[in-house]
Amino acid sequence: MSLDGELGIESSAVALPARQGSRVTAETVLAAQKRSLELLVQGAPVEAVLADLARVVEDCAPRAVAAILTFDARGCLRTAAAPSLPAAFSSAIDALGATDLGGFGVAAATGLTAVTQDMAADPNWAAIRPLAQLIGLKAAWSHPIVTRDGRVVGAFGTYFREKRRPSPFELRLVETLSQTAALAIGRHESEAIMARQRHTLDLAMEAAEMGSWRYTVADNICLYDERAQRLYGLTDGRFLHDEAGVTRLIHADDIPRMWEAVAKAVHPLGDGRYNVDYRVRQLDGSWRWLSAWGLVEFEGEGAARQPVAITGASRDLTSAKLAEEHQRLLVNELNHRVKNTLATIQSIAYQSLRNADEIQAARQALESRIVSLARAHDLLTVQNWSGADLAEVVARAIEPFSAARFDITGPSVQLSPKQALALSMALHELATNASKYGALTTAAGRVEVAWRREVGTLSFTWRERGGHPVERPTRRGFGSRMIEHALSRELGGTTRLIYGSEGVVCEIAAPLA
Amino acid sequence: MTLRNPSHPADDREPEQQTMKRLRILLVEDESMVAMLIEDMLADLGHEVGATASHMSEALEVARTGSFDLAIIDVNLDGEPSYPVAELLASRGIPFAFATGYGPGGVDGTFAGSPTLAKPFLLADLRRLLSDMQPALPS
Repeated sequence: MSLDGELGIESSAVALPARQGSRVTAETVLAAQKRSLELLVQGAPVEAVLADLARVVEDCAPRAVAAILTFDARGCLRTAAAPSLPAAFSSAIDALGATDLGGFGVAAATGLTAVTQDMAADPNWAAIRPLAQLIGLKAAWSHPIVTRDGRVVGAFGTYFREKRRPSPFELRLVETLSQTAALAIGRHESEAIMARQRHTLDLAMEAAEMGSWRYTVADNICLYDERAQRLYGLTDGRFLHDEAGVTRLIHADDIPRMWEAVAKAVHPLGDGRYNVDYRVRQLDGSWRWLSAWGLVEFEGEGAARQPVAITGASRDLTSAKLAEEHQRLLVNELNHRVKNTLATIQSIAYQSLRNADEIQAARQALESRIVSLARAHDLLTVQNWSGADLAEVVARAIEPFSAARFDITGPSVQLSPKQALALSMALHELATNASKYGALTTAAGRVEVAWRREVGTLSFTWRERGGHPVERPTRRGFGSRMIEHALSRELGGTTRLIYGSEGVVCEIAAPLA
Repeated sequence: MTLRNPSHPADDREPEQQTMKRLRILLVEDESMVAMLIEDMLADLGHEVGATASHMSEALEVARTGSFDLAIIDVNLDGEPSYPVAELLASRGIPFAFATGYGPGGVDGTFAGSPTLAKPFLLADLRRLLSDMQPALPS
């Protein structure tokens, strides 16, 4: 493929400046430079200003073609303006990258003017030569573009269609125009930096879900940015911070705290920091918790200094407040549960020891009751204290006993935490009794635990078989009271204890939720 | 009249107890184990638990129709404040005390000044409470 075909360049397509030969005066140059500066002041894009500067050279220097190159974000020289060169030529130059950029590279790297009278003979131009020849460019020279603080920010390049050196006039002209180019590029750079900083701040505020504001003391006005307006439920970014406005905006309970924070922040001898959490009214009448941080700007010194403004940002605190409230409820609930558990243990201890004839037996009974209560708690913790399944309650309660001697049948029935605890404790009493006096004391004795659902009712039976005959104790102990009173109360049903010939039978009937 | 149940050891009883008359008490408590404890404590102090209610509807019914000298009411009945029971008792002139697991601030509103037992409490606390309430009892 031929070079021109590849680049889409036709020799005839090259438009070299035709405005040559007229007499150039210092006034012409000054007028042209003034025009460029005006463009710059008017805030024209840097490319437009640079293109204008290039045209000035082309207007003033006979048969010259100008190209201005600047550094891109990666530090590579790229064509910023070349109004009379084919775009394909500029693209090809740019594609060469940091190296092989001929006199442009040399000027930018050294900060010195690089003159090439004959591009065909200069190895610096080797990479560009074929392209340049194609459009009839024979000589070139480059002038570095240097800012006032001494940074090289680009190169001002000029091509000639004949092998020649720049004239002293051309050298001065480009040197002068390079200063204007440096101004344009420098301004563009600082604008880019400011835009990036604004963008960074914007993204950071967005990411932090914060809105910014500024309150000025002189007019008692607070200006909110868009995000702050949304946070404060305002339709206008200008807010008059008078009593009526504050009363409308801030929750009555939080207004004194807000004024207190303001007073502290604007104190002449304070640190000028403002921070307050308050509720603000939203457009729909609901309240939103916000946390506001600000910094006071003062005028004057020491005790005489006066607050001028407070600038700051606010953040939605609603989720944190909800989490705090949730935490408080959890702690409250935990406290309630712990108190209940302690009261239950107190009850067990009181009753276990109340009628005790023998301290050793009472100690054992008390211990095993507390352990069985703890086991039931474990079961409930697994389900986050939402409840427990009856089958699991039974399995867990009889586990410390001879589990193999139990015949357990029944469907899945969900119990509330209180019901699960009461049934666990009742089953513990029944199993303890069975292993001391009932079916679990004989070799062949078994316990049948069966339950079924009938229309809205749970029927539960504990039946010992093959044990010794048991009799109702003369004194009602903890177990029988627990089953006949506590359990039936918790279940809202009835319980019946039968002292049979093969051991205890316990029948429970309770309504199902 | 004997206040001592012969089957119970006279462990921590004090002479002042002897001077109290046998009271018929309504107990409103949703935790069955705690209800059993208070029943035992009251029995050990020589009083009679006329009724134990563990639910709001049951408590309101008994408070409306029962005959009691005094009531002990758990502030919280299955997550519901038991103040309606207290209001009913107040309207009938039956003195009452609250039992609460929520600490000293557990009773609020119009009943904040009522006699209160913080759970868990001792037998001696219960005795003191009943003794303090004695002047309020109809003779």
